[in-house]
Amino acid sequence: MTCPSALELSRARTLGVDPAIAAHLAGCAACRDHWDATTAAIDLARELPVAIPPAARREEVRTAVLAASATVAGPSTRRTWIAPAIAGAMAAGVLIYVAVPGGSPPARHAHGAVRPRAGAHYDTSWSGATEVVRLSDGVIDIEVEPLAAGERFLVVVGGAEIEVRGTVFSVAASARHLVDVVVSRGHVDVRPETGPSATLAAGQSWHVTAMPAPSPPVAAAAPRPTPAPPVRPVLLSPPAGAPPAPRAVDRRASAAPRMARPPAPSELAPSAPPPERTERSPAPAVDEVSYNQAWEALRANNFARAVSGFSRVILLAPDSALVEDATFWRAVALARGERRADARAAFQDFLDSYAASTRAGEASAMLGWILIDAGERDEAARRFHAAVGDARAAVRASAQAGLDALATPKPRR
Amino acid sequence: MSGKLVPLRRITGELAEMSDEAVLAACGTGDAHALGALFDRFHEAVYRFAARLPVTDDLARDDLVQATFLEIRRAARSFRGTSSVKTWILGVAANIARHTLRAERRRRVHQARYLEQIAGAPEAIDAQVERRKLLAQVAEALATLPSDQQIAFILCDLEQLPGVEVARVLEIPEGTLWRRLHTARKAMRAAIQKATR
Repeated sequence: MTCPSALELSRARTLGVDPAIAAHLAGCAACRDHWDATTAAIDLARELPVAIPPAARREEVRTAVLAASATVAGPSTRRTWIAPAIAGAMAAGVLIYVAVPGGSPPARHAHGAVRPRAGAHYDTSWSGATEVVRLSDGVIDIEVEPLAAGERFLVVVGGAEIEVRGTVFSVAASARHLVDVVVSRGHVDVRPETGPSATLAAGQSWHVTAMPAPSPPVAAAAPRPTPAPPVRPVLLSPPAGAPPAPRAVDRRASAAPRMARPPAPSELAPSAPPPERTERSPAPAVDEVSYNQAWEALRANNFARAVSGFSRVILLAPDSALVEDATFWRAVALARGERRADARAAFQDFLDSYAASTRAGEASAMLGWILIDAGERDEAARRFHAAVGDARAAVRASAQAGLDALATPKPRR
Repeated sequence: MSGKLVPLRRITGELAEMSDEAVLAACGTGDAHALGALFDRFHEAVYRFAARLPVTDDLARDDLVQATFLEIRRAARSFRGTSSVKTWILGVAANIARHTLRAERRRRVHQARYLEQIAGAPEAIDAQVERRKLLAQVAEALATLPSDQQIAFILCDLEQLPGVEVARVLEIPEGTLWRRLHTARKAMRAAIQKATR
């Protein structure tokens, strides 16, 4: 039999080997060598490293995808209604610019515009002439047009209620609890779940004074014997005074995922406008408030509240320069609150996300101590070694103390 | 400020039990939960595909994954069922990647980084030195393939997707795909032979 061409062999590899080619391969050394060499090449190529980012990073990308997908035109009616859509978009563009300069298109409601920030969870419903926006988590900015007689616009967060009479304001919530209300224009009545009601005017704000305590960690239910702790320099206490100003962050190295840069529509299958690139948001006041509150809670040893506050910053402003600091201090708060498993995951997440951070050494040292307690001495040593060259003497001392502790033989049981 | 409402909750109940085709169809109606479900089901495959492209760093990889799923949302209604959903999704990723790969200058920069990554991968000494060299040669051969051949090789030989479906989603004749695969495999074989001489 004549040897099949190399192209035929290649095609057979993909489509399946027919009996004739199989028989030929069995009897022809040259073709067999060719076949085996190709198999070896493919097998080796399959061995090449395939780096999949950590789950936290992928979750960030997922969030960014869903956030960006909400800003592009929906797929269902675009072609049919293209002309009215263009006209409508132009009109909406003017309204949006007037209402929220520099922002992305808000969702229009009958009485105004609701503009959720990334991660916000809300829904809207009607009851007669009353429009109700129910916010469970995140931040929404709302502009409400002047209402006619009998019309009402309510924002409901858990048991709290905010009623407006034509205004521009922001509402923040966490786990169905009202956190902040900031009024830019007009008047807002705030009726919190507990405490007195308040009427806010432009420039005024309302902030929660106490959040419900989070559920206790599971680990707390099972008390463990406490080994004699090694002497460790204290790194986990935040210094007194005002919270540190957020440092400049290398966005490329450590930020939440950017919006994708899609290719030109003509390069892809069906044409469509490319997804919009989301602009980086300025650090909103509500996030700074949450950060400061969390910091105060940490200094007051209220670790559960600190964790909740720093988590809120991360949730509310994923693009903010505060996020790196919030991620670090959240891990610290978890550690100081004895939630070791959570703290360990939080420090690892911080180090994965902000490897170049000036706090990486500090986080490594803290993680090292947690790992010692968990009996993972090799990994602890690796973390301490990563911290012994830190610029801060206290961090170096802590890392060295950790290495010294590891060098000491384990006590017999 | 960032975008508008993001229904981030994971799908539960019936949608979670829907077939890939049904979820894609739901995505085509603008259902953001369905898009989230598609991400949950296929993001690892898209990441793996992106990671195998020697032209992507971490951020470019994230961009590619994001762009792929945004394009999926936009183009979901064009799915005709002539391939599996996975092949279709990777075809979308490939089309986006192909565009990216055309920027030759960027390609060379990323290629160099990728080769550094391969060369710098931690290995046990001595016993694996030869294998490391061999893998570096394979990586280099894959990196220097024309992008169309790279994509064909990755989809058919590494992801092991059916060639007929790959040709459909790439919108090329089957014969073109076979030729690209053949040329790619030839280059890969040559790289190994060179390394093992």
